[in-house]
Amino acid sequence: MPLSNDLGREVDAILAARWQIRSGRTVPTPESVALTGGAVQIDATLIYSDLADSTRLVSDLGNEMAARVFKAFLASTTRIIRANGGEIRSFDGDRVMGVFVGDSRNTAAPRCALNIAHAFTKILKPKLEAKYLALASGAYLRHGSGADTGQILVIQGGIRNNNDLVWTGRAANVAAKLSGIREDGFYSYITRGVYDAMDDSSKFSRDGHRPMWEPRNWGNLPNEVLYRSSWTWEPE
Amino acid sequence: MALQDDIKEGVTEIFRDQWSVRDGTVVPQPDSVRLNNDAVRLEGTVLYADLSESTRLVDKEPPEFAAEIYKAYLRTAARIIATEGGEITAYDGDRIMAVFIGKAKNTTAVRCGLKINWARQHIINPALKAQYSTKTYQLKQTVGIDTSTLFIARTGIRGANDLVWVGRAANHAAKLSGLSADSPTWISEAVYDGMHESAKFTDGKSMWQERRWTQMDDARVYCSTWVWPV
Repeated sequence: MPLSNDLGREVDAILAARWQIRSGRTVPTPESVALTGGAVQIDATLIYSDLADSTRLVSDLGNEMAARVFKAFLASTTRIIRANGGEIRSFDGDRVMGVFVGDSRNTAAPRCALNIAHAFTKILKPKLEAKYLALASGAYLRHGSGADTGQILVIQGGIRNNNDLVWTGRAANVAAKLSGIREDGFYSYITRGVYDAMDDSSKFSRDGHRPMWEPRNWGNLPNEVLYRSSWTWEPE
Repeated sequence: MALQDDIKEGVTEIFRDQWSVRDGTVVPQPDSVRLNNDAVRLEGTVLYADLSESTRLVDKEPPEFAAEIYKAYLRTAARIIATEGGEITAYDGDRIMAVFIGKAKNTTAVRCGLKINWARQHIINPALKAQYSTKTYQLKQTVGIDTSTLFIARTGIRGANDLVWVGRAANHAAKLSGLSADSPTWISEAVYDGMHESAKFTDGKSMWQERRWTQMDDARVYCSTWVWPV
């Protein structure tokens, strides 16, 4: 049973090896994380942006139309994340993960969420609903973005060389969960850690300094406060 | 306004251009699908393998331990998938997506699911116990499998270089992998009906239980607690 021996040996090695952890200042790439025992520890803010109801989109609209929606969503979010200084490190069908590092990470990521909300509600959704009768009811197109910040341990998770970095840390799980919250009119969710470290430029609107985020309890983690926003921010 | 214009232009193009669809016979790589509205159509079986309760794991355990669990699980699943002829198409945090094609795609994907469950019980958890004798953590996982026509397109931006897999199987396999880890392998009706008897029965005994999937209009699905030795 050669495969099973290989598996056993490999798992033993993973559990026994000491991580060679280095602290990173840039977003790691697969090449920069050594294959065995390699890990990069990094303070980062992660944003997940998630297209809602994608299963229903596929079953109701068919593959080709759904593919256009997915593609338009992923193309726009990717562009906005990059324009805000974030890097894309994971694509998974109907959602995208962006990574922000550096001192302004907690200002850039929330701004990015509001930019995505603008692009989705003011560009993508109207264009799609105008083009496809099946979408015109307005019942389909929704999205959500979530951001959390913390220490992330980035490791090489798989057996191929590209795109198989695994981001382990609470912020990765929490950001993904926040991007799944669906509340009418609110598209962006951030944790208190992000909110507290955010610059006023992303906290308050430019027209008279109105607060763009409001606190909200989070059922999943009762001791935690989240902030949510109904604002959109035109990408510049 | 450059960014805003770029977005508008990109979106308009995506909706305007006609797809040029070809039927595929291999699992496409990003470079084999062009950036514009090129697409590949494929009959494929999608497998998602998902590490259960990963939020609890990263909350309760030191990051290095959590990272070892992720790595041990994802590597093991990836190796079994590759050996069974599946193509790994995405890693996303605590889960892995793979696609199987060809006549035996349902049988091989299902065997893969049962093998991953075997490796969890007979390799990963014992190795964990041996290395960390004081820890009570036991790895749990769920594999979800569905089959359908898949429509595969490039997502958009150069560099991120990823394919988007559109089709019922991609969504449903992901959702099935979120079901209870008490029976670690969940498959759709289409997979069950399409797979070989060898993956259904052992010594005349069924390895599968029929269930109704309440979140999906009571669709017929099957789950299994069985293992298949690697």
